[in-house]
Amino acid sequence: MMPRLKCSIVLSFSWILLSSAVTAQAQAVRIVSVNGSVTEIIYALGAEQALVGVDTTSQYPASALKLRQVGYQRNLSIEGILSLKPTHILATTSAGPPAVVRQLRNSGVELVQFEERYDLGSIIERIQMVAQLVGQEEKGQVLVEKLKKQFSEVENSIQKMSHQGLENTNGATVSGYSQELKKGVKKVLFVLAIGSGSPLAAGKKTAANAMIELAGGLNIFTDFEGYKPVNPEVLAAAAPDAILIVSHGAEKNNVRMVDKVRDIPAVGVTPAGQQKQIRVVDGLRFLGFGPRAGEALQDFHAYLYPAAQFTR
Amino acid sequence: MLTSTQPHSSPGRQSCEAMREITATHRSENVDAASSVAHAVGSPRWSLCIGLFVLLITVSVTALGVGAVSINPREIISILVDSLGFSLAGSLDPAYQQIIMSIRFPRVAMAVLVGAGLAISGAAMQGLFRNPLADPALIGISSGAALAAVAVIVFGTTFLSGYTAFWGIYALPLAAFVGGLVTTFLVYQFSNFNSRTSVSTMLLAGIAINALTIAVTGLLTYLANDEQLRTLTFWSMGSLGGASWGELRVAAPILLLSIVLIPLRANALNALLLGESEALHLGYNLEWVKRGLIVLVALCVGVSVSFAGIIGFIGLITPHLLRLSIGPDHRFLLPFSALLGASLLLASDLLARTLVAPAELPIGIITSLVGGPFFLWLLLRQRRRGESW
Repeated sequence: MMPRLKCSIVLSFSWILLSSAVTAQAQAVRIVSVNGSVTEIIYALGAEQALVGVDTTSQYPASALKLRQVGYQRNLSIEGILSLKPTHILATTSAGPPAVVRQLRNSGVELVQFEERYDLGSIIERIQMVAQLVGQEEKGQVLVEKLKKQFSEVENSIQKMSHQGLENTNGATVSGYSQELKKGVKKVLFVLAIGSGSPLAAGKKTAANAMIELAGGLNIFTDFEGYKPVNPEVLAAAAPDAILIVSHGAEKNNVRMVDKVRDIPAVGVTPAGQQKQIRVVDGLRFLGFGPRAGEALQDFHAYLYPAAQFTR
Repeated sequence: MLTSTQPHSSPGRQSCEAMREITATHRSENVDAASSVAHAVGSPRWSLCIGLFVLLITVSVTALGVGAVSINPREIISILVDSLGFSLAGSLDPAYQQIIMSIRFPRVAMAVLVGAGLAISGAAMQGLFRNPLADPALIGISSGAALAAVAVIVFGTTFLSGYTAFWGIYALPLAAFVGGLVTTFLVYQFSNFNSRTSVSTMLLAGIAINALTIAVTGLLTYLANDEQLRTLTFWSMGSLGGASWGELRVAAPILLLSIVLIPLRANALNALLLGESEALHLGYNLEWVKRGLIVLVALCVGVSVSFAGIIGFIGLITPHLLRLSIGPDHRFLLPFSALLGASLLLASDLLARTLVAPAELPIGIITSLVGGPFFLWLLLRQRRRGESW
């Protein structure tokens, strides 16, 4: 409870400071963004001229890669950041190490730490906050409305489907690990990395789990939190209908990654492996909960349920 | 040439107290070292041999029978019999059949081979270096393999993408294997002088090369992104989760070759326990023995690391456990180490895949977590008896 409370205090406090400062001189805002999705929001609002530095997770859009680098968000160094003379540092609660974050907070620069939550609310919160900071409230509102629409369309589609009662194409569930399966719900495995042995799969309290649930799927691993290497036997027994894997490199690697996933013996025996329902997703777009989360969610929902009908 | 050998200069010399006594008695006599060693120790060996076989079979059967997905024994037996071409029960659940035959069975087989390989390599290294702390990691095999593997993980999608594309899922194992071999070769070259190999220089060179490769590995981890970091953390703690028949087809021949060939050098290793010059006097071509053993160990550990990641403690602890009961005679120590190592790794893997199911623990955590305290307990017991190692 405590960290969350503290965080919201920090947030609301900086909010007050911001709203007074920004109106005075919106042009003088110099932002260092230490989070990929925050960087995306700044670009989406067309405020990139205020951006003076980014971290290594800021991979999108491509022009963000040309900005000054302050390092990895969990391993920041204070001098590098301060040398860019920022007025604001936008980060999430994943920013670290704690000592540096403390130093940044005492440095006189405005440090905003967004809470890591995986829902529409947190995206809206970030957009509104950034929009106000850079003086682009209108664009921010447009973006928020677009995201709300995209999310609600998927939600409506799921509801419509559950009324109709989809037929599940494969009924294979294995005792011990079968959850209360609603008929027709697609079971999804999210693989963060293949590794050399057991694949690293997403459990609950992950961005991947949130996206799977929002898209109307069922994450096959909810017995643990975070990303863990999973037992291949359980993976095979859970019989996922679709497998998602994060891509990092260029497009041409994607085909290869799909083959690599299929080569895992446990995947080969699942419906997803046999019907080649393996999809490579962009890490930042799919897991970032940034401005592209809505379209990523719609794509994913349509991929899981090709019969789904909704306006895009 | 022979006079330049200094039997007392080896750091491992002090290690084998028991051997020193034997050496003291027999040094002047030019007797067959192996038979003198055999004399010095009692012989509960054959019963131990049978015991180890029974243990391995028991653990193997348990490992086949128990898993994160529970399948009843009768069904497992019918699945196994069915795969031999006979059919017992009428209908088999295809899902279970696949879990047993394409996931659990190859994994058990891989654990047996890797465990045996690591343990026998450890025993051979301890004999070769006459040092109870020697294990394959010491001469750079593991760290070299780790460096190459990390390079593939970090650069696999950028400038090594051509390589990873060509080798597919074998890209990582192959790189690890080559990396291990290259560092071993380097260490070996450093310790090779005037066509003689100094074992103590090899240890020191190994430590230096290890430090270097670990530093470069650290540099690469610094360049890695979040997902790559996770992959390589878990990789460096070992896992048998990827075992498949395809991997076994590649790994098994090399592992078996080492497991079969290493014990053939048992007599030479016994002679080495007396000291390098003694072994030379006894007529052993030590350069051949050293080179042969290092190549076999590098192959064996290279393959293990490449398919299962870095698994600590098995190579170190298994020979020590056995020396307690059968003494240092390598004719028994080497094959028995293979048997016990296989059982130990199999049991560790069983824990790794069931303790936190459906997730998995890295197997290196289990071997060290169980192996460490057990080893300390052994040391304490030894001390209480007034013996040192």
